Amino acid sequence: MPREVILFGLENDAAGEEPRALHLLAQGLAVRGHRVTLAGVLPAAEPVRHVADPAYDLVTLYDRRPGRLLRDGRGRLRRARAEMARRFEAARGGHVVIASPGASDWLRHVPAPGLSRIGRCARSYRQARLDPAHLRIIRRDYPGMARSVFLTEEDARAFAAERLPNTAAIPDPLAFYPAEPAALARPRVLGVGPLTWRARFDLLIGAFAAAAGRVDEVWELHLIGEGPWEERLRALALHLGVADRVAFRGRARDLARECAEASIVAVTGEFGGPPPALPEAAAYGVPAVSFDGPGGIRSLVAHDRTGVLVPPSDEDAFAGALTRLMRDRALRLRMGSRAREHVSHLRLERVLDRWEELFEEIER
Amino acid sequence: MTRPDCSVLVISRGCAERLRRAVESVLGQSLRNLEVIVVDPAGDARATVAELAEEDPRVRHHRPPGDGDPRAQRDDGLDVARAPYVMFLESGDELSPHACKSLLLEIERTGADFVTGAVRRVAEGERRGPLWHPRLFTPQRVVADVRDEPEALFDCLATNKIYSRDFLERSRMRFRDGARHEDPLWAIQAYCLARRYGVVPWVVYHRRVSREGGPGSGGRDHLSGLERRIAAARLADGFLAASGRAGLRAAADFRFLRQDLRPYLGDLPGRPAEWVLGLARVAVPYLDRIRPAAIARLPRMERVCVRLLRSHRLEEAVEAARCFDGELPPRHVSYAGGRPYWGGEPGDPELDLTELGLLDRPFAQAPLRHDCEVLGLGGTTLALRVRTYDPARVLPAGPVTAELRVAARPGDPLRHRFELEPAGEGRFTARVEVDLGLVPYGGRGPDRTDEPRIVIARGGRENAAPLRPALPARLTAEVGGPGRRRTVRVIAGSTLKVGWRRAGLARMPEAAAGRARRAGAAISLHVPDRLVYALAARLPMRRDLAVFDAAGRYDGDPRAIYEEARRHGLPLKAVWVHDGSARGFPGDAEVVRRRSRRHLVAMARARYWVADHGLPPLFAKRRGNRYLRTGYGQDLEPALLEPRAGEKPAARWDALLAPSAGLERAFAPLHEHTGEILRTGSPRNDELVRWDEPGRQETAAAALRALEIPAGRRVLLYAPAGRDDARGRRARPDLDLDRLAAALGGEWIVVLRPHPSGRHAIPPRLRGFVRDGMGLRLNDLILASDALLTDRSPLTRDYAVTGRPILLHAAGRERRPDDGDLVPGPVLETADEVVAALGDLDRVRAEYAERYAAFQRAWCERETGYAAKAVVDAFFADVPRRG
Repeated sequence: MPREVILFGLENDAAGEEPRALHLLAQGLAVRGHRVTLAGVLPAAEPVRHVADPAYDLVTLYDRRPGRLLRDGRGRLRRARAEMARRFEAARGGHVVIASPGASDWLRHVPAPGLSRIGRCARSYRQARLDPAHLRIIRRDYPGMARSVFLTEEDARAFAAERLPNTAAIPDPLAFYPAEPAALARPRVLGVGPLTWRARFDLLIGAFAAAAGRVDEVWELHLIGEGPWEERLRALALHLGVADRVAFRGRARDLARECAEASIVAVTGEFGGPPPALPEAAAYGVPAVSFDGPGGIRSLVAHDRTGVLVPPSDEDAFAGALTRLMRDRALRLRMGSRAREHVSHLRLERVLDRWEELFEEIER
Repeated sequence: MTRPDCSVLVISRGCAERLRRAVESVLGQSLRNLEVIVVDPAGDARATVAELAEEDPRVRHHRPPGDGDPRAQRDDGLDVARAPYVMFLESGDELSPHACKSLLLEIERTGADFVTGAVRRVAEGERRGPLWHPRLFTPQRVVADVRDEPEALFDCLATNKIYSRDFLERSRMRFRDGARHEDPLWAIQAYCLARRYGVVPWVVYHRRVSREGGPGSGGRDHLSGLERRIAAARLADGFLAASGRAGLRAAADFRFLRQDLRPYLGDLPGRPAEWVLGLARVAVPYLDRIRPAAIARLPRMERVCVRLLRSHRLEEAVEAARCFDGELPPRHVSYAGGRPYWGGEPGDPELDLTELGLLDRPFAQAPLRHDCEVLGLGGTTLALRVRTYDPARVLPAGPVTAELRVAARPGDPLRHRFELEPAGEGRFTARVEVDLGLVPYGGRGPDRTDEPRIVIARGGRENAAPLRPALPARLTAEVGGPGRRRTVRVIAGSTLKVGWRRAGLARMPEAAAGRARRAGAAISLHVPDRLVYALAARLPMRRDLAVFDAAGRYDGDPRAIYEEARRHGLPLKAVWVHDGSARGFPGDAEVVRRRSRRHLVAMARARYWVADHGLPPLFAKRRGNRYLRTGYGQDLEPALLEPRAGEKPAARWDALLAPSAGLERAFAPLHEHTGEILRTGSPRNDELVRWDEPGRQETAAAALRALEIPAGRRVLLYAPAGRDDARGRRARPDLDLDRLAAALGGEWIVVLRPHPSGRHAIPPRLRGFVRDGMGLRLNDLILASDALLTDRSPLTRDYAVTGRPILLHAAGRERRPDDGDLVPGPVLETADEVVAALGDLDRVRAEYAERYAAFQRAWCERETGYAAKAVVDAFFADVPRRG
């Protein structure tokens, strides 16, 4: 049954997993016959096209980013809100998916009669708790929505324990699910993430240096991402004698190709939600080595089955796990194929099914 | 017409407005496919329902035949419901907006026979209120047998649940069985007969209570409510016995005592004698059948009250009820075998008052009780008969000198000495006449109400306690000459109070002044801090000015650095920042309130800033400014270390204190610090490293004396950092101190030192075992202690300098997975585990010796005891030294 669906986020054409997920959902739902609008407030500083040929309506309320002084701020805000109110009115009987608590805050004074509001929060419970402003918005706005959607069951449960009455869990879809898995023959370890403290690439380089020294084959570590720590990390690689093995590839341009060419994906950081590129790598059948911890890593990597989890911050154990996988291609292939199976529920079609089930449930 | 997913039965009780509100809460549910059946025995809701049905056809009216028994109404409603799941709603209450949908999804998902959800008590006229028994509903779960969690019986409502019709029919659960009975009976049956039931933590039901429905409620004026509850309890007992669940009897009894009986017991002090007699008549026959195990779970004073009721010592029962909150000590206490007992004859274990912790409290908190009788107010002289009770026998046998202190303005009381004459064991009496005209009061100053205290001194310490009048009274007098006239009111309520009010002409200027002040405040200009700071920054920088900021206290690293700088005789002018109280700061420094004009100006003009936390970006650095960041404790929670959004990554710090290699590794790169790193220990820990210097030992001994630690006891420093609850407030530490007290009372004393932002009141019964350590210096407490118990507080790393045992308390719910093996002591979860560890400290020491040493190497390696000197030398290097 085709429905009116509006997806609303603050900055939809920025680079990153969150905006990409919204575009994928919008496209998927539109292709299934729903009337979809993807609305955003701000144009990104460096816009990215997430979907080549959108079957949905793409709307950005501000035509340029506000300047520092925001002199005309109030007028623009009022007009933008009025525009959204009009669109909501036109979509009566449908659903609006509010992509984040920040987006919910923006929409606070925009009436949406006859429209069911679904609040999405892409941060893990633990991360959300550390940001009081965020949490305040969730507490204030989300109980009144038709549903609050989180990315994992764990997070949904945690918020339900905080007495949120309407939680549900729907993960973000994979950007791609290739027909053929990666060959896992190329001796390359892949690390994806911003080059800052958060991704802890210093630990990764250290572990890689130790592991690379223990195997005969010449392995390489490719780091995909940008950030202020690049100098520091290069210096570290030099210091550890692996400057020629560690490649700093810059921003991710073709993630699919990167995954296809890797044999191991390594995660050393703690991110709010799923680590960048880990689900996609798993879709390619690339096994993972990661630090254990909260944040949903356990739902993505099943220890000793689809990858290896090591105690947090334990560089030696990480090196040991890398060594083990570097030495044994058969093991990599076994784990990788299980990883592929393990994330198959994240395929776009399945995720879209769950969204449609959610819509049905709301309409009961 | 499709079958509704859920039927909600609303019983109409006559008030049309409430019925409408209840029904609308159902019609406004997120679940649309439901039906509302209004069961209306009296027939007077027909019109209201018709109106509602016109707008929304999902609601219909049902008039059951016959009797009008309210419980029978629910049964009839069940007969006409069409959905496979049902809920009940009282017409005074409401459902929360997602109740039906969320409970429906849960019962469908789990296949349970019923699902219960959390309840909020909301007073009439309010929109929110507290949760009712919140712990019962968390975590979200499915339970197969209520015998696994008998406390569930406290969830005694029928209305916060969704039931499967199948289950109700299968188990033949009907409200009508037996005489008129109450929800608790229904709930017990539901819990016992369900094959499994679900529990969800979110609020589904808003239970309305009338504003007067709290203590002293008119609902308890006649005892018929209690009679009904007792009748229901008897039926429930029969049901439990017949269905082979006698094991639940104790839990059901306990529920009755806490939920049904307790409100009536609490009423005792305010009720007339016939009511008390009536209560005894109604309750005692059933109390005689209650399992002793249930009574034994009551707090001690409630147990005493129950025992006294059952022994028909009714006046004493009323007296016992006055002591329920633990603040008011009992009057008459006798001793046998060193244990205190209620009343004149010791020996009855039910009346054993040891649990109240009356003995062993520091004198300042000893349980002295001063009852008084207001004899009259003659002119300005107040005459009182005072009767002092000393249940813990802390006062000597002879006459005791006491002082009555009454103040009309803070800090300047009238001290009226008098003698308390002994009048029996643990009893004293005196007649006091005090001239209220002699109490100093100022010409100006606001009206004030004071609670006079009786103060008794012993060994340099004072015990001050209010007076408790036997009967209410209000007396007035006038004091003072023309222009300074005051009306003095003596108010005898739960305590004796004296109020001072300006009278006559003196009143007018005050009122006018008040109005002028308020008006002035409304129109005063508010100059933003940024502007003040920017203007002040144009003034020349003072090269000898240093601002010290230790989060508003005079403590920590900034204090140690300051004192060292003074010892060196550095010609620095110092400014300290306080957060509300300027007490305790050194006299030779200027003390300013945070964000005041003086603070902003000082920050703008100071060459040196020394702070243990990140100063807000408001304070932009000037050329020549030097900013030393000392760090607040070595806590490696990643989120705390990350700069907040908007905080400029600090090219701001000129010098960063890195008391350990671990902190240096993590902290510095994170904030992109490029300035100096001072690789010294923490200045505040110098005292701990050099703990065996004579001066240090003396201050530690002084701390022990100040806390009145009895000789021979060992001291456990308990420093809960507390978990941040979701509001960002520190939650209360959840260690069961009562258990600790019971097991360790004779050997250990606990000194409680919570995180400064946490507040923790020690209940009176624990004041013999737990001392409040907030007023003393942390280092003194550390040196005076024999062991530390904490939950991941940054204090752990400082304490490790001393080498004394450290016990870690994992506060149950969140076991942080990081840190791995590097804990200096056992991680304990329950009070029993703490008791076991403290009982065998030598073994704990030996077991953790290696790990403790590794911990010290990781975190305390740089602690040499001379960190303050090193920091002062490095940071204040360019301050010209004298001589």
